[in-house]
Amino acid sequence: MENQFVIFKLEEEHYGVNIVTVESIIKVQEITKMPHVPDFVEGITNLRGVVIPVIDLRKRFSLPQTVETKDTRIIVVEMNGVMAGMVVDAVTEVVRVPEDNIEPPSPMVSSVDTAFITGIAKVDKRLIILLDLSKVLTGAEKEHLQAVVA
Amino acid sequence: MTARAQQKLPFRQSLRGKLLLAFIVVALLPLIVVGIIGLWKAQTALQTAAINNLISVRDIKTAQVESFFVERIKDAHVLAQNPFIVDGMRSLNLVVQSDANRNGNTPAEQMAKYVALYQNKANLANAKDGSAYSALHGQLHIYLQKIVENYGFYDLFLINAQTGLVEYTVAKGDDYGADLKHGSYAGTNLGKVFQLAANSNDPNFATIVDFAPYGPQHLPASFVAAPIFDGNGTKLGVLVFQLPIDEINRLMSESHGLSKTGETYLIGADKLMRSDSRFSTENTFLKQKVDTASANAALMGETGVRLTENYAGKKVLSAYRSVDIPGLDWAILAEIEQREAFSAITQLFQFVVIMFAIIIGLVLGGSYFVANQMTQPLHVLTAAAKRLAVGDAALTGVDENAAQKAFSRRDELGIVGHAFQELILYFNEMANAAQTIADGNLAVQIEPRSDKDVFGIAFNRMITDLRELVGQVSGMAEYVSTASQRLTTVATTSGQTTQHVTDTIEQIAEGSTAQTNSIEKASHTVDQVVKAIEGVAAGAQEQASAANRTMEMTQQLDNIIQTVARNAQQSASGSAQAAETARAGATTIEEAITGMGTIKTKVEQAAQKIQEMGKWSAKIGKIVAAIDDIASQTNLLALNAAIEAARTGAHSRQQIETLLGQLLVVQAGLLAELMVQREGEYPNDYWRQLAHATNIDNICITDDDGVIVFSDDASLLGFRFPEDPNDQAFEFRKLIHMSEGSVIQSIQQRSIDGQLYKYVGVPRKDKPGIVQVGFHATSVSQFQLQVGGFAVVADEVRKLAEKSAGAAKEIAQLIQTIQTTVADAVAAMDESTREVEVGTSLADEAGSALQNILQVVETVSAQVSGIAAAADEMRSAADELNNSVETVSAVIEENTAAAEEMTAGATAVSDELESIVSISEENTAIIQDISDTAEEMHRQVKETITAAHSLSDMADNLITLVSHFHLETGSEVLAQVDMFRRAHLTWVTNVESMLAGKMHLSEDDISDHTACALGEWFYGRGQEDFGSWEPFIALETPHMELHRIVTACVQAYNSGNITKAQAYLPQVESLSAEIVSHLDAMEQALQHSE
Repeated sequence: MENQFVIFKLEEEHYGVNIVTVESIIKVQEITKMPHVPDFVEGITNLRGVVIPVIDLRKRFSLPQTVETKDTRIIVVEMNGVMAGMVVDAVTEVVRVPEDNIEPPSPMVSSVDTAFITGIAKVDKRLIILLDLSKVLTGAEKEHLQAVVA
Repeated sequence: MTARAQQKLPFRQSLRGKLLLAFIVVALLPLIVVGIIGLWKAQTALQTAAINNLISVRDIKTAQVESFFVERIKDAHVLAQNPFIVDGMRSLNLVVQSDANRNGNTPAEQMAKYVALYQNKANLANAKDGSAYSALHGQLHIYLQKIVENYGFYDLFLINAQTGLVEYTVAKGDDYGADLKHGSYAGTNLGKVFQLAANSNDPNFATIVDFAPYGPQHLPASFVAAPIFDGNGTKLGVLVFQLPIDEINRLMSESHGLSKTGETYLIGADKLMRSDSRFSTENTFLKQKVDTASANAALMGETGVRLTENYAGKKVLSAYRSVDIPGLDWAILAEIEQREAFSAITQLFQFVVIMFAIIIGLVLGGSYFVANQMTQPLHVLTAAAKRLAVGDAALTGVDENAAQKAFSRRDELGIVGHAFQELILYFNEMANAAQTIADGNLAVQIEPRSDKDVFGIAFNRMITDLRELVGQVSGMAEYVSTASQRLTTVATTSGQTTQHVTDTIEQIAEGSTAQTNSIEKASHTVDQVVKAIEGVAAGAQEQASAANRTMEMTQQLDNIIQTVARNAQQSASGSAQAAETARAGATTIEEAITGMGTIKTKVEQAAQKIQEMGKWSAKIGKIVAAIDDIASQTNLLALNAAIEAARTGAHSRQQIETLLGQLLVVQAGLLAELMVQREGEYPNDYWRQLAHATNIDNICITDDDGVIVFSDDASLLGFRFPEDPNDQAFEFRKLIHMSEGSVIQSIQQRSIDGQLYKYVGVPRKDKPGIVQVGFHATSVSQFQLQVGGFAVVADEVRKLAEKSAGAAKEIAQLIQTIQTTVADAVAAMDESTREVEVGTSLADEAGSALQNILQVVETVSAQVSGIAAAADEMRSAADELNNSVETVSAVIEENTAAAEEMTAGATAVSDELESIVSISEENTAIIQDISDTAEEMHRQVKETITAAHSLSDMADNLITLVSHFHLETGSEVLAQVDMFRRAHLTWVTNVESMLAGKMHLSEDDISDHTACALGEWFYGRGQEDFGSWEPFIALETPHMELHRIVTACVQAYNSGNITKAQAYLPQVESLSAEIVSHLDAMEQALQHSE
């Protein structure tokens, strides 16, 4: 059984998200800042008439901030019925990964903070960290997020 | 030299002092440390040994004393139980009682009778008085005497326990027969011990009493007593024996291990001695009181050793303890004088001190010797170095033997010394060389010791340079000398000549003045004649001269005009040439300008094109950006398409299956309908075709029992749907008797062959049964793949988009490069355009300048041409004028000819005279000038001579100076020979001048033959170098002679005897010539030898 993953870049690392969980990929468009929102929420944006919150994955992963480039993209995912945009450095490709090439995450690194890591995939000698973006936020954070768009 | 180096170093700072200190420290420090530690250890050990020794002596003695007394008590005990003694005692009691009874006496009275018989008769066994007592005494005494002797007792007593009478003693002293209960002896030691024993009912009792003065002589006595019982336990009497003090004294005075001053003694509770002192001649037993710290401590029951004073007040080491004897409260002391006890320590200390002293002495002596051995050569070296430092290579004041000893050592100092010797040698060599050079001998050669020998190399270079310099100076001096000599000669000659000339000219001047005067007179006369004639000729002459002047003027004019014309022509042709050249230049420049213009235009065009290109490339850049953007968009779209496809794929997999199921249900329904319509047989082939036509993989139709009766797949025929409710196919059975409904199963392995199929079933409509249709898994996945294919396509699209984005990027890069290049090109073009413009403007300027020149030249040329033409015209006019003047002149000439001829003669004469006068006047003036010039010249010549003389002198001096430097043997001779030669030739001219009165010479001017230049050389270096050379020796005589003759000549002249002086001249000449010839010979010989 093969799975398809959308590969994106943050800093120099490649991450993979199961394609089924991805709604779409859009270019960075105007983001409206919102008051009283969690630090990692960039703001809200209008996605074809639907208002979605935008989360900066760099902030979420405690990576240094960078300037937006022409490769910067927003990955739109559904999280518990709420659509949300994740800002990433670039989306490079969609790959098919045979199940055999996916390793479960090492128990060494699996903690509450890294629960969203679903595995490590080997693609052409590259190591890709597979994420479940719907788990990137904690329950409380998701409620926050719902409050943002409500 | 610093003050420190001159001073003697303080001992502590000197090497000798440091060495000494170092040796002493190295040798003595460990010695002292080891000595002190050893001494301390030894002292402790010796002290301990002494103490231990004393303690062991004390303990041995204690043991001996204790055992002695214990033995004695045991003895008493044993003797008291001796049956002989028991019988004896019983018999004595009986005998004394019976004798008393018989004689009617009390036992005491009866005993007094025995005392009278036996007292002081120790050896009397039986008085033979017939008494029973005597009989018994006879038996007892022999035995008991033996016992006393054997045991070493003083005495042995047998005492009646009841009466207390001493019934028997061995010694038969005062105490024999004494009543110990009531008598005088009751209070004595004996009484005490008797009472102790008599009161005891213990058959094993035995006791001792301490020593106390006893008996008539008050000698110390101690007694041991034991009661005597008979076999029935009746107390018969008491056995007492007196202990001897000898045994105790013997024990105590045994001095083994106590050396000279050691002693052991016993004391009692009264602190009186219980033994005789070893050192006292008198008895100290019970006499000497010992009230010392150790005695007190011992009596208190302590055991120990201490340093204290003994009873005699001496410092002793005292070991003490109490003595354990029942009934005696004694102590024992072992003492030895501290001085002796620790004498080994003192001796050791003395020995160590002596050894220390000896070793220190040896170390001091040895290190002083070694230090001296090492520093002595250093002192010598220092002294030598100091001498060398003040430049004294001979090392004055340095002891040569010491130096030689220091330098010939075989150790490092010897090496230093040797090196130093070499240094001195080197220094000496250099000094000698310098000395030689100082002496003027430059022929010395110095070999540098090494390429680092700065001194030697510099020296060598100095010598070479000096040699070269002196050689050069010498050569120069010689040259100057020769030149000045020559100058002098020439100047002298020219002086003489000018004098002559001057004289002659003066004479001529005088003559010519006279001549002038006479001519002037004649001239005057002729003038008067001429004036007369002139009057006649004047008219004609004026006319002729006027015509002549006119003619001359026209001639001159003609000449001028001709010159002008020629010049004009020349310049005209020159300017024409210039104009031509300028024109040619102008043409060239114009061509250049045109070329420049073309270039400029071309360049401008090119620049424009390139600028256009730049604009275009900018536009292309924009296009590329657009492409890039599109590529990125495409990529995004592709990604989204992939996502959409994947999502759709995942989503619809279920839907597809549902859809497929529904489709199959419909198809199965259709089949059911078909079967209703078409009754009869349906071959399998029909179903296969049907399946193929409808894209159904498998069709099965069962009968009412669920057994497959029709199928496109013949292998399935006869298969019966199982009745097991757990079977996967059981569901279908339910359909058999139903009229409506359907069963849709997902893909699974079918039970018949395990292949993956999706089956759908509906009830048959014609009769009970099932219509089942199936789709093979591959068909299902194909179905799904068609949807998945979209994703693949999307991926391809994305890849294409990526590629195009990459290509666009490359293009953008390329175009950027082109843009940069084009920008560079534009800049370069701009630059070159500017340069071309500058070039063009410069060319323009040059062209216009040339044009201007051309114009000017042309103008000039035109003007010159005009001038030339005018000049030509003028010339022809002048020619015409000339012709007419010539015609007139000819007529006038004819007219004046006669007058002229007339006056001509007179005028000619006058003119002649006039000219003669003027000439002679000129002559005179010239002669005067010449005369003045000659005078001046003469003066100058004189000055020159003087200068030449001084120059010559200087040159000679220089040669003399240079000659001090000995370049190479003979070379300075060659340099000087010429001078010598000249000097002695000069004498000839000088004497001649003197004789001619032109020069004054005094005797002082003539040096001694050893003091002149030749003399100095001859008797100095010459003698050294050529002393035995014949041509050299030959020189002496004529030289001496010359000096003598010249002196005589000058003397004669100065004393007025001119004739005599003149007579010397030939001699002077011949001697001078001889000297010169000798010098010539030497010179030649030396030159050949070179």
